[in-house]
Amino acid sequence: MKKLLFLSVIVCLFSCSILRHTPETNDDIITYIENGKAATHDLYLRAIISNDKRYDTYKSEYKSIEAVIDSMITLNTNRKYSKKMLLQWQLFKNNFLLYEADHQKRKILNVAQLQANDKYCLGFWNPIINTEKSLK
Amino acid sequence: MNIKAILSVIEQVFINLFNSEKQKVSEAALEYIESAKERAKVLLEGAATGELDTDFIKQKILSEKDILLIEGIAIAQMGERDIEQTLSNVASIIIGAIAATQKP
Repeated sequence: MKKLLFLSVIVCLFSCSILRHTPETNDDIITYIENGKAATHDLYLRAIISNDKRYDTYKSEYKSIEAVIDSMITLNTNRKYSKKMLLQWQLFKNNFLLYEADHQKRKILNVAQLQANDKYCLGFWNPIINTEKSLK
Repeated sequence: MNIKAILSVIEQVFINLFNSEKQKVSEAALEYIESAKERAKVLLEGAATGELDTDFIKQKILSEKDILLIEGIAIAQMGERDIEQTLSNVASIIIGAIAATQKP
């Protein structure tokens, strides 16, 4: 009976340790990601209201956002238990690069295209932020 | 291109998620439903006015698959692993639907 109880405690502790296998986060990481989201929204919002919708005008902003995404990929490559979060960032990066390449190829995007890119980028940022916040 | 059919599948999944007992999952699901609706609205309006061409819309529908997977991971992180599996299944359905729209 004692052996069974001991075994149950071990199994329970093991289960708890599995459940606790999530990456660590902090407010700085969450703020950094939220700033990346704001920068993306700002890029498209500025382009929507501006008469200048050329890719070249917004190139540096695209690169800044890419840098945020790349740094989060590096962070998630190095921190423990973050395989799925790494996948989130990689998927987002693939799509963001496609949107940037499309803007570069077309040279100018119209308002509907910019609005769509804005909505789709938010569609990536929001669940990524939710994931990071759920680690706390 | 059957955008409405694909988006209705997405919406149905999130309506199911909305019924989840876990409040934070429900809140996230509601956020994702609204987000999917807004994206759908932009695509449908842009397609109707001719401002969005077929290549652009196809690119965005392919993005839906990745957004679903990312949302699935977010929800799984909140502790709903069954929902993650459901989303993966739906992502497969959407990939199939996209493939069907691209056949000559």
